[in-house]
Amino acid sequence: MENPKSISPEILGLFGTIRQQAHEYNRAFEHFQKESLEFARQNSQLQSLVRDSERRSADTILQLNSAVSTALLEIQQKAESIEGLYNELNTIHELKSSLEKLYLSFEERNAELSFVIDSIKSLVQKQVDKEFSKSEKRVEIAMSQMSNQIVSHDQRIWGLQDQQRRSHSLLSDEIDNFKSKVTETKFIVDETTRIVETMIDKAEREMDDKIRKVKTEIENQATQVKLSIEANNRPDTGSDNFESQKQRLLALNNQISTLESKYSALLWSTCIFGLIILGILAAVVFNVF
Amino acid sequence: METESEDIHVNHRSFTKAAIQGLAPRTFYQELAQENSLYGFLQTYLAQTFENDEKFRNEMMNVLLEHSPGVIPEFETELLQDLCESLSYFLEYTKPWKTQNQ
Repeated sequence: MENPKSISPEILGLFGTIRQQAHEYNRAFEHFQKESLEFARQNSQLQSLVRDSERRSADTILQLNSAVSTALLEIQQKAESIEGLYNELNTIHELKSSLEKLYLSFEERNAELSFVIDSIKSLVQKQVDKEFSKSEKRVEIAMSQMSNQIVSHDQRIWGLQDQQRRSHSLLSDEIDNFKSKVTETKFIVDETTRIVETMIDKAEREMDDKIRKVKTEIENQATQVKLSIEANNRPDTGSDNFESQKQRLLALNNQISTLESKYSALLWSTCIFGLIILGILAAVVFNVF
Repeated sequence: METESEDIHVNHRSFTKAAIQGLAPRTFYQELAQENSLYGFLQTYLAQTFENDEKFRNEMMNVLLEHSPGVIPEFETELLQDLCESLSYFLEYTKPWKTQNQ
């Protein structure tokens, strides 16, 4: 619409300003409405947050109550233990003060004892020095005596060694001489044993021949006696012949026994003879050695 | 958005009305307004209707605005009274906010 002529420009300007202000108010109201809606939305969010926070705070309060109660119990227990520790600490302090007193008395005693020990030590040192000087003198005298004795013993040992050396040389000469004699003696012993063995063998052979002859003779006589006994057992033989044969058999038995005793005596004599010869040889050998 | 669409609709309606009015014959009230005697006529013969019938009042106001050749102080007074009523309603409406702000 064009500017109306029925209204003055001042009024039109007034209407324009009022229209402009109305538009401004409209925009402001729209803005306020948006802001109020935003506020309402935020208010609802805040309400929900408040409810959530109230619920959480209630839960937290319960948890805090339980935690505080447990913590209080722990603190009470710890306080009791700390009280016990303080009591022990008091006893420790008492013990410490008593120990300090004891330490002071001990230090006094220690000083007295150290003084006594020092005095004893000086006395002992003096005595020890005296005894050491005495013993050193004694030891020096003993050492000089020992050295003199060692010198005399050395001289004796040298003399003994010289004598031993000479006796060793003599003994070695005798051993050499004896070695030369041993071979000769061994030859003589061997020859003697050989001769004795031949003699014994000869005697044994002779004895064996004699015994064999006697044995054959006895056997022949025994066969003759048996034949005569058989003949006497016949009906035509007399009792006188039997008696004579019996006496002959007894005589033969006596001869056999005497021969056996002679043989055993001969054996004993040869053995004794051999032993005597061996003893002679042993004596010769031992005399030589 | 809503206000922009309303403005477009109002403009379209006024253009249509203007086109129709341009084609339609002039009314008795328009001729009175061109002769600068419409307000006096309304006050003399149709004062009750002009005061109580809002549709008629608005229609007469439009005729006065569009067809009067000069300034009509009484019409301005009427308009300023309407403005005062609207502003007083507005002030009354926004009073709680002002008191809250204070």
